[in-house]
Amino acid sequence: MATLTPTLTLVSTDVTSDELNFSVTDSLSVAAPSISVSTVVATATGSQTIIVPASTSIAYLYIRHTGTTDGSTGTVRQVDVENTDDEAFARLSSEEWLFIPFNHAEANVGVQLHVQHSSPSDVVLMEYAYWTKG
Amino acid sequence: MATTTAALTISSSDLVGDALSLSTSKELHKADTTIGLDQTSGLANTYLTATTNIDLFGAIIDTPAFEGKSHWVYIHNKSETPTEYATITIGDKVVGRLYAGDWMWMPWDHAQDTHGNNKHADIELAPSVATGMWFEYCMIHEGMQLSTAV
Repeated sequence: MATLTPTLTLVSTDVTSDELNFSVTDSLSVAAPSISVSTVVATATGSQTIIVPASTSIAYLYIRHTGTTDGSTGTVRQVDVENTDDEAFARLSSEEWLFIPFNHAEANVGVQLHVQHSSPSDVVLMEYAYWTKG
Repeated sequence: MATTTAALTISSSDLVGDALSLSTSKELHKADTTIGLDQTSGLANTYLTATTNIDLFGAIIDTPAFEGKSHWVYIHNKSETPTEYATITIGDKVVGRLYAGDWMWMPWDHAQDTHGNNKHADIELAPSVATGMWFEYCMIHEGMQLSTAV
């Protein structure tokens, strides 16, 4: 099994009187299947952009909104992160990212991306990766 | 205006033939602006001794005033026992499981529903054991509904 090391750092000198500055690191044992850092064009139909296939396993999931439709053309369309039962649980704006250990109560579901606009021409280039807990 | 930055690195030397080294960061802004988030719950520690599903951050129910505002949530299971985990739920949807040492960072959105079955609601946490587990958590945001005193 391989080891994945994610680190989160949160820094602010002025959100409170006492400076916020901390890092947290984890050491994750991961196994197949995994998808290394990839890109996909998300659309207004969630089922067209399934980034984690249905599984009962825990998927360490990274998703980032690139802020573009194609790597160069900017967009402000938000993107919902949904399970494959079409239930949204997070919404990403331009250049925002998340990292979570996705699992839906051991139900056999995956994760999909859904652009928050009804026009099929509104698309967003998203970056993502996932690794299955070993 | 406060400036808060969240940064992520992910690395692995043995996952595939090519070493993985990812890094990204983002200043946290109020919704649809470039104004920094200026409110926070502060970094908190709590010790839970029951498997009861609890509200880490309560639902915003009574008013649309907070819908669509920007909230970011950090939760860390500080247990050192590998089998101990916490189930994380948003509204009625289980979204993740944090095993010992694991953490998560994600936006929490109170946006009004735009399609069926979406409930941007409370963030719940349920420990897997009642023998005591430590959790660290924090929210950085642009506004929360506080309960009226009784």
